Amino acid sequence: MSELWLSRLELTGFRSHERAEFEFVSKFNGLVGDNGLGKTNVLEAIHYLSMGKPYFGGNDRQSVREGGDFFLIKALFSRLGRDEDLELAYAPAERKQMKRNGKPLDRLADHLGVFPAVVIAPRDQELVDGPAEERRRFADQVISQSDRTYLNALTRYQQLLKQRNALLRSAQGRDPGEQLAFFDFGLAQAAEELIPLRARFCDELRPWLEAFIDRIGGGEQASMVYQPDVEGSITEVLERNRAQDVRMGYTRRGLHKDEFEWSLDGRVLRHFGSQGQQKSFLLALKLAQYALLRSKLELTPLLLLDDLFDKLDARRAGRLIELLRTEEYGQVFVTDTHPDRISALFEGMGEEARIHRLTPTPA
Amino acid sequence: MNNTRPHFAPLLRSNFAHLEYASRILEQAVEALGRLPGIGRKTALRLALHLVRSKPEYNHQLVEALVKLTDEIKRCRVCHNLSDTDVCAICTQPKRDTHLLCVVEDIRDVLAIEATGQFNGRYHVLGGLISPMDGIGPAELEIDSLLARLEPEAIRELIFALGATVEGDSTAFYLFRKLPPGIEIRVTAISRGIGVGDPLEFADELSLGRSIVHRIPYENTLQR
Ligand SMILES: [Zn+2]
Repeated sequence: MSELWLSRLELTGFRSHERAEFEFVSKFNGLVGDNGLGKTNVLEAIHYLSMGKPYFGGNDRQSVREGGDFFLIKALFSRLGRDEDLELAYAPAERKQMKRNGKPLDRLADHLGVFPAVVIAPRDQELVDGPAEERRRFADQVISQSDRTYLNALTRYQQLLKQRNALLRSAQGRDPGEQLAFFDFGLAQAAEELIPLRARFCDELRPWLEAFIDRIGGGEQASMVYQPDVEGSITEVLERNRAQDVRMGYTRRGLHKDEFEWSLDGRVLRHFGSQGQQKSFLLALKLAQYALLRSKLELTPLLLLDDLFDKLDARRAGRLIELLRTEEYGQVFVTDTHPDRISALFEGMGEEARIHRLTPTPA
Repeated sequence: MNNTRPHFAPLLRSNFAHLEYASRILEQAVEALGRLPGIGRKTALRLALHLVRSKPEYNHQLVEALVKLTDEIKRCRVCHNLSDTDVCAICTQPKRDTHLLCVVEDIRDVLAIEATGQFNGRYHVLGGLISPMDGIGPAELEIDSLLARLEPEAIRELIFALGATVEGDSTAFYLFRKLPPGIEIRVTAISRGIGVGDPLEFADELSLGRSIVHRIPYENTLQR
């Protein structure tokens, strides 16, 4: 029995689902159906419950079903042996509201880490191909789920940065003088807190990453290196760049330019990895994320596998499922277009697995 | 889990988009009410319909209050708090410690601090906080008038009672650095018993009172 599992999900007006209900089992759940029937949207709803925002793209407004005014996600789940419920409601004119056991949450931040989920999806490729921002967001989300200090400092850094940039923009090329002092001071202070935590995150994730790439194959040695944009004193760098920042109207250096460099066998993945290598690396990375969250939160996160066969052939998918059957993993969701492939994957599991078929809504 | 209608009933609202009010007067009232912060079209309509059903005396009282609020309310010449008179009731109260000055964002903070009963000095209302994103710089706030009070009123202690937000912190920092060099004044800040990121108005009475009593030297708030 998983420590955390979703037993029931109700969607109203969410993406392609006008109305949908699911009863899940605590271990393996297959979501099967043709493209366009909303398999991934079910995973998206679960991610919403976990992080309060979408994973697969778009924003809250775009998650409202076409022609609708709101969406509602309701869930029953079991957490450390207790039955709980979660509810997330959104309508464009209102604030997004989340309730846990009927009680509205003042801040989404308080919910992070309560209902953790890890997504493995084709769009993870962005983590390799995309700008550094994608990798930073990945790191920020993982660390924030298990470290409130980090989340607070990060939120503060981001607010300070927004204000500093607004000040630079509004000064239109003139030095804003005394007013900059606070933002420089505050940014440096927040960065001092955040940089060691980002470095520590890399150090903690690396052994897991190495272990998983070893297990999955695709490379010999996976690594992740944190490259802070500013190594020494941020205050000095901000001062040195002041004239240029004023001219450009934004803050050019700092924590918001940090990079996480991922490499396989000593070569930077972004530049050298083959498609196959990159996919193996991403799978190992996500499993490492899972392992790290599990050890920090002392709870098995939900694992959402979208289009599993994008990353793996049938044989390796089978091996992954075998791994996920072990005690170390909790509830798993898998989407696929081919019912046979999923049935084969879940063969002999009995009550442990259930396949949910998504069918077109009758007209 | 059978009831899937969310509490704010967006289903209802969707119908209003297509509804003609059939009365220009009602429509104008809804529009005017809908301009109030936090009042959507649906609520505005509910309020307007409520007013239609209310006793005329009540509505006339409301109109009179609004007119007075618009034409007669003043800002205190000393502390810039809202006031009916040139100098507000707090500034004219004789038993106040006039050497103790508490700097706040707006009148809601004055009310909150007064409600704690833990503060016996006077106030200075800045009228906002420094926030470049909202186009608010020091020039938009009552900062010069604050600095001008320090010496004539022989202020001995300046207390920053600003929210624990980036904007509150940036305002305190700016003020601190703007103090005339060499001035003999104790600068303190309310202790952060109130949560990080919280505006002052959300703090409960008891903890706000405590954080005023246990205020700390401002410099200490700059360390983490
Ligand atoms: Zn006054």
